[in-house]
Amino acid sequence: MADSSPGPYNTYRARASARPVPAGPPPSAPPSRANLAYGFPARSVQNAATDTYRQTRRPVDAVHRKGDDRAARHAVKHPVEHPVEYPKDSSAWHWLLWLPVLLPLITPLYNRVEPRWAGIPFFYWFQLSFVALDIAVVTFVYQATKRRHLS
Amino acid sequence: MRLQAHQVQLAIFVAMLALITVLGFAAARWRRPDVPYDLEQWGLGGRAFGNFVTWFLLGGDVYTAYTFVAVPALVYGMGAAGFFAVPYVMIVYPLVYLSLPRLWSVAHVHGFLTPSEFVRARFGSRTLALLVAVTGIAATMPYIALQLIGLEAVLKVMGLGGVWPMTAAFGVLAVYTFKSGLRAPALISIVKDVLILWTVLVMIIVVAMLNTGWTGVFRDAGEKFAGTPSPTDGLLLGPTGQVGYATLVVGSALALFLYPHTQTGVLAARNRATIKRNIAALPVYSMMLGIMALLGFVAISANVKPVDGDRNTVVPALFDAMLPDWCAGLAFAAIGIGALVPAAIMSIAAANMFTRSIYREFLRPHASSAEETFVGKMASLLVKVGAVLAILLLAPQFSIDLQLIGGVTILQTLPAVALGLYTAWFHRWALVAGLACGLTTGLTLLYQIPQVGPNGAILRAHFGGSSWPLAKLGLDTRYTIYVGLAALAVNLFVAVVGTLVLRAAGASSGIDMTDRRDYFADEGEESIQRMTELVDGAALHHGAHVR
Repeated sequence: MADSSPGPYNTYRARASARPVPAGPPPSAPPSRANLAYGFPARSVQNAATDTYRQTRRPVDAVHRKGDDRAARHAVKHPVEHPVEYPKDSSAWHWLLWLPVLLPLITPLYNRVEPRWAGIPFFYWFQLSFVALDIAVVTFVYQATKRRHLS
Repeated sequence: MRLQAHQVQLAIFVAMLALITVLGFAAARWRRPDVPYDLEQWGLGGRAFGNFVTWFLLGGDVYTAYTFVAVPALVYGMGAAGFFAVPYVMIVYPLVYLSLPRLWSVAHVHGFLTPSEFVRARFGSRTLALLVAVTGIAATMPYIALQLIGLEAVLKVMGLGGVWPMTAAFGVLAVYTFKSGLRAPALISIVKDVLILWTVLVMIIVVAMLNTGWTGVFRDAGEKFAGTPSPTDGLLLGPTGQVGYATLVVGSALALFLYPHTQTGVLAARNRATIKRNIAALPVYSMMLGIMALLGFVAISANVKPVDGDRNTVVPALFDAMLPDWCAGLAFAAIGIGALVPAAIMSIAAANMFTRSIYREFLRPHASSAEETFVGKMASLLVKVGAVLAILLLAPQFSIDLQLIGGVTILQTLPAVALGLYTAWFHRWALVAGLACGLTTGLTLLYQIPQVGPNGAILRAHFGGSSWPLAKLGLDTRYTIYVGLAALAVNLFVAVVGTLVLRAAGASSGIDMTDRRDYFADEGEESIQRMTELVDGAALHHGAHVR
């Protein structure tokens, strides 16, 4: 992705204003939140079919300057549709994670001495056994979801 | 006199310290890629740590010497209520399983080293980012000082009182952190974890070999707590202590991964899968912490008395009493190294925050990559000097108070940092207002809490704990609640109402510089390519992404 202007990002204010506005809805189109995401227009919509996500985005300068806002407002006036679908990181299995989070918070469940285990009161060994629950649930959720999204 | 009886322990302790010093300097060459050295290399180890290194690094980061010393000391003093640290480090992992990979992805795409940079880009507010950075640094500093207290406890038991041994150990730490950055604690934490594991195993065997085993331990502890008039101690939680216990667990768990040093450990991972796998494996450490916590009861049963009345010496004194000399020496080394590893990571995290969100943001926006690295290294040095001075000049109690406050304050960055990972809905100024209100509330409530001695007398009027009685709200109840959660509720309320008001008033909101897809990007994808390659079309590897 060769960019015509060299140098670090903090010069991208100049580049942003020099950049031709890609084909998109006319300026009168209402600003939409989705198009605001970068604060500047996406690079290209013509080659959307082959374009990967990376090629549609621009470097973001961590040092935010006043000019950034100007470039961003420019983007608001000239919104473009994002051609790429958002990846999904959601899965019904993730609800399972609430189990090891909530169970240890129900103190009446384990605030007792009996039954002991190897002489250790229930209060202590039961809470220690949450380790096994933790590992089991997180491992299961990881295994169950790892092919469904990016990792 | 104490020193003469501990020569074997001291020799082993010093030998282990020498070993990690060598490792610390060698770490500078470990896994070092052939690229110019920038802040990302120094402060995040080049974001290249795999499953095992990340596991050791995060283990060294979260389970600090102070934890291993203070949690059993709490259990020794109060029984069940001190055990809160165990469920807290268990619920935290499923809690952050989904959010930490998001943080990693967005930080990797944009080259962030710290959460404050993320806040800056997400909400488009320098003020908010500055507040997050200052809060983070302020919460981390006393944490570093506390590691010194953990180190001091071990040295005290070996008869090395005074400040010089401690300062010397910290001086060595400062030098190799300066040189090797995050790679040093990553490598050293492997030694530390092996030693801790060894210590825990040995103690389990020792207790199992006692005549009465755990039964006797808990019988003795129960008798001790029954003999005190205080209603807050005992083998079980009191009838009114349960809400306080649960809220403390939730609040501490939410705060843990808001600390800059834990986020540093997470951001140094190689990819999303590394983080997720580590979250599955890290509870193993919680098990070790849980067993260490039970040692508080063993100390009661073995009739161990703290050295010089310093309760933090209970666990080292227990090792001293129950283990053979050489074994005790290894256990002391485990705690001593366990103090140095997180102290190094914390100082690096604070230095990253200062460099990225204060120095480069407000002082020298055009700082070169080399200048940035140098400033980061110097800042880490200054942070450590500050921690040593805090211990030398102020009473240790002051650091403990600050640490108590630190947990409450870092929790107030949750709306901006953690909720910010999911939504940019909040208005930047509403978040600023929420953070300010949360901090004020937290400090006010902490100020109102007196420390009550075992006999019911008030020892100190202010900052005596973090359990705030709900009775002060005018409710007819004896329940208490963790201050951090109460302050967070105020914080969130102000942020939500403020956002609605500001939106209605049409106040200009900040520009979100991140994209939804940034939160899912992973290693090897094009989105993670270095910014230099993207801008210049060539692999310059010159750290332009940090500029």
